[in-house]
Amino acid sequence: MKAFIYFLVLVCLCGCSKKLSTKDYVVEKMNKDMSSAVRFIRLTEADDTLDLSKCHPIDYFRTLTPAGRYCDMSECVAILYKEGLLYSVSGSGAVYFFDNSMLKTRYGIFSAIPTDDNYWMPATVTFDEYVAAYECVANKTNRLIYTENIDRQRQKLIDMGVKDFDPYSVPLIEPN
Amino acid sequence: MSRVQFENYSSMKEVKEGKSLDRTKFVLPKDDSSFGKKLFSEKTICFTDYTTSKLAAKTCTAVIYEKGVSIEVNGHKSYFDAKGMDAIPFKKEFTLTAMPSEIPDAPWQPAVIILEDETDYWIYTSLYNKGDYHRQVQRIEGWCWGVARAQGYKYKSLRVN
Repeated sequence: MKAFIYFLVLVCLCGCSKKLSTKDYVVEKMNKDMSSAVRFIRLTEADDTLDLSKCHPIDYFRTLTPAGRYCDMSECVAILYKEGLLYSVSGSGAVYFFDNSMLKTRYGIFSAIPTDDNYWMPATVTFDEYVAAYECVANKTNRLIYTENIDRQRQKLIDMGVKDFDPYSVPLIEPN
Repeated sequence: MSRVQFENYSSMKEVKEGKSLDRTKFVLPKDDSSFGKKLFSEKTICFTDYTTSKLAAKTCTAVIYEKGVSIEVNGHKSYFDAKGMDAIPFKKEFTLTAMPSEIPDAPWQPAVIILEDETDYWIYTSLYNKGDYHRQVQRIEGWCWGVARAQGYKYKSLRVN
């Protein structure tokens, strides 16, 4: 019985640490992106000032975006708050916060898709073993879907020097 | 993260094109003393705000100077300096008229007509924008001209003779 309890605790710790590591990575990366960003863009219907310290984080995502017409696949980190979605894409120089009212959905794996004019729109991504499909979730926009080959994404992660990722969870970047 | 100051936008279009300036904060000259030489003046038809119950045609008298214009509608005269204007029609190359405005002390603002060859409608677009990309527009459709004609204006002729 004692051994079983130890086993349970160990399983719990492993599970928690895995989730925490994604959270820690995303928070650290978001802080880094914010320190180098030149634009902080909030999509809102309100006039008030956004204070992230008063927002309530719920979930954390680290993903690979699709490639756009003028850009390659990039790493995206996103934090889903009770109040909205915060995300940034490596190298974009911008951090975005979409209030809930500006999002079509709050459910799914959050990433971003590029626009032709060099902005990034919030997107949810679904995938199987071959293809990742990204759908824009910004409100008041026409249906916008990007697809990306999973093998290309795996190769991209290797090219980026990401060593520890689960090849079966791509475009989610999760520890193996 | 908490120290970051976000800019509020209502759409990605606004993010891309920039926010429109708050026209209620525009400050206009009080007179034409800094406008230089008077070049010419013209009288045109302009329209009040575009609702069926309130729509009325008015006569706008615009005076064009070297460095500004004045607009007079309903006995109210306002002065607009060249720094806020997208262009001044030095040689009558386009017609200067007026459209409603929310600029303080200026119920009417200078406007030009685009799409005047269209048979269905004309667009009056703001000329005093202080560099703002977002032009204000007033759509004048056939029935608006009907209102003007009922008031005695010449149908579909912008200039008042």
